[in-house]
Amino acid sequence: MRVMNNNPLDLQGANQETITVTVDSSGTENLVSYTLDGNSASLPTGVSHSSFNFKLDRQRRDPSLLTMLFTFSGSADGRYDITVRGSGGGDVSDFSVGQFFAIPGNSITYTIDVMD
Amino acid sequence: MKHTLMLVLICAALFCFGVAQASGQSPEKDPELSRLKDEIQRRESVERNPDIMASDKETNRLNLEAARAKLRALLTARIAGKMALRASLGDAITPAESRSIASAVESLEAELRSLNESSTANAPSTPPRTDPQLTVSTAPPQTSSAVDSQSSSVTSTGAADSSSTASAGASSAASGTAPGQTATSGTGVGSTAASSFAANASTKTELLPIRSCTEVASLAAANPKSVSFIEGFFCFTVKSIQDDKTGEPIRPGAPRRAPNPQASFNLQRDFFNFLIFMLAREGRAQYVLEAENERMDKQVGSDASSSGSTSLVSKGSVPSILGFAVDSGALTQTFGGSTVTFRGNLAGIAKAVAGKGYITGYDEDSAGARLLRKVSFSLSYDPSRGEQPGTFLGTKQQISGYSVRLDLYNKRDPRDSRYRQDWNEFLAGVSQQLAGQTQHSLDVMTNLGQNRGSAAPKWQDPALQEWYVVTDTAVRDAAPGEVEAIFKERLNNLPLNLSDATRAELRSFDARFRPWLEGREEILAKVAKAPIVTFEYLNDRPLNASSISRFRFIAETGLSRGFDLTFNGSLALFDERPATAESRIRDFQFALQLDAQMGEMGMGLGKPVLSFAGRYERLSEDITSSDGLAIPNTKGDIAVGQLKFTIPIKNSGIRIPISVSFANRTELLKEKEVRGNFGFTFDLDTLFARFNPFSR
Repeated sequence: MRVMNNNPLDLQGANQETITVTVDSSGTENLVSYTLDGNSASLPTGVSHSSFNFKLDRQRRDPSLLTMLFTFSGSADGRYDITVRGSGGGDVSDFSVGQFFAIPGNSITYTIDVMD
Repeated sequence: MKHTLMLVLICAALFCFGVAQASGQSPEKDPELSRLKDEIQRRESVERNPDIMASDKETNRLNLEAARAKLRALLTARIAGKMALRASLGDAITPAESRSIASAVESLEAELRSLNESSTANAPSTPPRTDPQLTVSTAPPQTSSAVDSQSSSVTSTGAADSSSTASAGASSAASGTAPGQTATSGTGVGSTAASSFAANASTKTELLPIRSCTEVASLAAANPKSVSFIEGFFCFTVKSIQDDKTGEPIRPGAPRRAPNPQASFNLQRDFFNFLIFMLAREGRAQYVLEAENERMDKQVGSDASSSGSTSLVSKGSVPSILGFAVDSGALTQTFGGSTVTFRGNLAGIAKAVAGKGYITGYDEDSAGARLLRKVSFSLSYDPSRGEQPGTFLGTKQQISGYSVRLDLYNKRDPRDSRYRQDWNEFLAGVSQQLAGQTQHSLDVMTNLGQNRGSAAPKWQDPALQEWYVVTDTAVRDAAPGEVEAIFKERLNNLPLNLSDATRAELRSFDARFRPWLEGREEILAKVAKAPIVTFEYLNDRPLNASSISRFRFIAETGLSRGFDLTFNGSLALFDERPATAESRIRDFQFALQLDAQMGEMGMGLGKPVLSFAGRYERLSEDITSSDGLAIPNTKGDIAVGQLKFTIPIKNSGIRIPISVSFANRTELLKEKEVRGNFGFTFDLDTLFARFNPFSR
């Protein structure tokens, strides 16, 4: 997996490569929903470390879109640290969504170009 | 004569130098303003030159508007700076300084007016294009000084994706593009839809209500509900860009990143925020613009037994750091008086003093910190005591009481396991729906979901894309401290003539965003109603009498939305049994209070709280007067009722409690009494958050 354009949300991976997304939460209940190419799911609550993975499939969608929605259970000091890795090695994408100015949550979207 | 003339000249020169120093840099000598004005003049001359091709003029026009936007923001910032200087100097300002500042402000305002007139006068008469084939090129980011040499590098027409420059990705890396900046839109912009920018500007309606991010940060720390969603997300976006520009660590404890002065927006990071800005700009989703206010479960003022207290019942929650209150009047004691009370949380103060700051300190969630947060204290002073009666000195002689509190049972933590099912349902429902909608909107409204190769992220809506290009360019060229003013100015120009597809997506997003906010609020409201049980030890130190130790249990719970019920039960013991007393038990008390939060009052006032309270007290021993003598036949039963109206002053942490109490007797006199009380409380959480120099 490669990080493109010096942007941790702009990724490129090989077809059939397994992408693992890890989320560490602090100062908040773990409230993470995500939509991968139109299909939505959520990470478990009651933990501060959670992850999921998926396989890049050029036939299904290219680029793959992963939208993550983070909700903060408090009014300050919540934070989500997100790490994305590919099974084929390469770059590791590191991103954080912190809670400032009392925002209730936020959303980011990863685009992952699928290469042959 | 010659010497006199020389002296006058020297004095005049010194005076001028002093004035210049006092008033700061004049606008004429501000290099950034001068540079922008020069750029605007050059670009305006290009507009007037009939020999220059129309397509080149269109490129020039977008860059002209970007320069004007930046100049407008800079002028506004400079005016604000002068006003701040005048306000800071206050009475210390000299007449010369005052004149100089007034002159500078007048000059800056004239420039601003001239700029606005010039923008309007030069607006093209052609209607805005809605050509879906709008193409915006992707020259690498560059400094303004490089515009002339590079702005011609891009132009194209035809399919949207064909507009990209092949070198964009590489250029971004080479030029140190910010994370997320796939060389979106440099100053070199080629667009056949340039003409619509000015038309968009002319559709500007009222300004978005966004306070300064410094103020928003302090308000968010003191009372999160006093910040609107538009303010929160705006400042969040500004901070993200500023952090990229200055190279702030991605998270506390992480290494600093390489500063990227040309950082700007990142649609993958900021898309969600942009949707909220558009909702706010449309004006239909009022909830995005409004802030809630105030909470009613904090005890800031003095305990009911203190001289002059307006509180009949003690509340379960205390300020995070320090509260300060002056209550006047009395509830059960005959003598009026004033008590100055400091009430606070041990953990908050320890961290503030340690230099970690209220905001950053609060996120340390160690077991020790959690335990410290359960402990709070208060210290009450009676200014009528000591060497200078009537003056608050804060000396030991003026201490009239102190207390220590321990939270025994507090389920007002959203992370408590009892709320897990609620959160799971929230995630499976409204949260996943919003995530799905956000992705759908991103797919429809931008080119991020397309296999775009090295093409820059862009909006599909032509009007939005034009606005974005200019905004992105202005922000990219801005210094970190200018980002807020420039982006705010640009947000007020966010186009309203959006395409049908964009408007449809906004409606769909609105339909998912609001339930997500409400779902979260619903759970947090449930959390806020959870019971709290607190134990308090209070030492009351009356003048010329034995100190009294009071042991109190405080239980508080929310009822339905806006209602709060508080129970107090206490036992008071003499520290030393008075000679006339039969035992050390002085009294026991029970009290109950119902608080009802009412609607907002307007006029800068928040939501008032109406409270009904009753207290029963059994005095086991006769009261000791202030001169140390026991007053016979004063033991017995005291019943007190109280009606209290507490008015919060919005966003200030200040509350004004006004109450009327009815008692069958007082401690000293067996006569019925009706008494009015008036108070003033200030929650220093607000002050610490606002002025704490080590908060970031």
